[in-house]
Amino acid sequence: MNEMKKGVDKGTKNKARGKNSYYFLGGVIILYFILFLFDSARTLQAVKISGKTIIQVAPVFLLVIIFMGLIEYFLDKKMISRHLGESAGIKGWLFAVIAGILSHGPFMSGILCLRIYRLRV
Amino acid sequence: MKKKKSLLLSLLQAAKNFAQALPMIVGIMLLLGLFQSYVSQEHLAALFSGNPFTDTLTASLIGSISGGQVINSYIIGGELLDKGISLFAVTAFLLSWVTVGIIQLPLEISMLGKGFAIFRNLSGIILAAFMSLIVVYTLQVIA
Repeated sequence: MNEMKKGVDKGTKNKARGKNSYYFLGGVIILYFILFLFDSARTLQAVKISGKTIIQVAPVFLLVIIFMGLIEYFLDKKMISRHLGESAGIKGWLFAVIAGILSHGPFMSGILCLRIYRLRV
Repeated sequence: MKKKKSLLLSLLQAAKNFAQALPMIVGIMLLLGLFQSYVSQEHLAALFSGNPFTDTLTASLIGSISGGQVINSYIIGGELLDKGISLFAVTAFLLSWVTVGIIQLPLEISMLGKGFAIFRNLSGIILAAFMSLIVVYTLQVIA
């Protein structure tokens, strides 16, 4: 029963998160329109910079999705929890530190990995 | 016995989680583009007074607001050093660029929770300033 309630709460939270995500993007687009009225050249330059960044990081995000999908498929939930969960102690902490040092890529992909990992554990 | 998910389903699940965050990620990239377009290196250099202590704090704050590829922070850091900004400030700038993300804060809050995101970023700003002192003093002792 509790698990079911947890699942419903998670679903509601995820829906709210999705909605907020769209509100945020809408707000940024409105900001762009306002700034375009004051300085069109710089705002267009910002669009170009952002487009270039999106193209640069798209393959990294694709890799993140594939990597997280593979983890989801191959690694057992209990095993991940045992090695990286709260009960793992210093070993889990050390593993996380080393993984962080070896990882490379946009800051946002790290946040995304952590989120998916938290959903999993 | 619980049936194991197929590989395709696992990949779809990961893609679904990503898709949920996608509008926020695009919004943050657009904000970073605005920042890079409207704030030049000259603007950043003008914020430093020449006092190592206040410059270190200023650099921590600027690094926190800035974002993007880490390589950019090395280029800007080098330019700031050439303009005579102290090594304390440049180190704090590099550290906060990597560890703090004010523009990315909405994404971090949405993914990992408000309390965690705010505390992590605040401690990142303070520790960047503190770490820069340790790094530069250690460098002076070694050199």
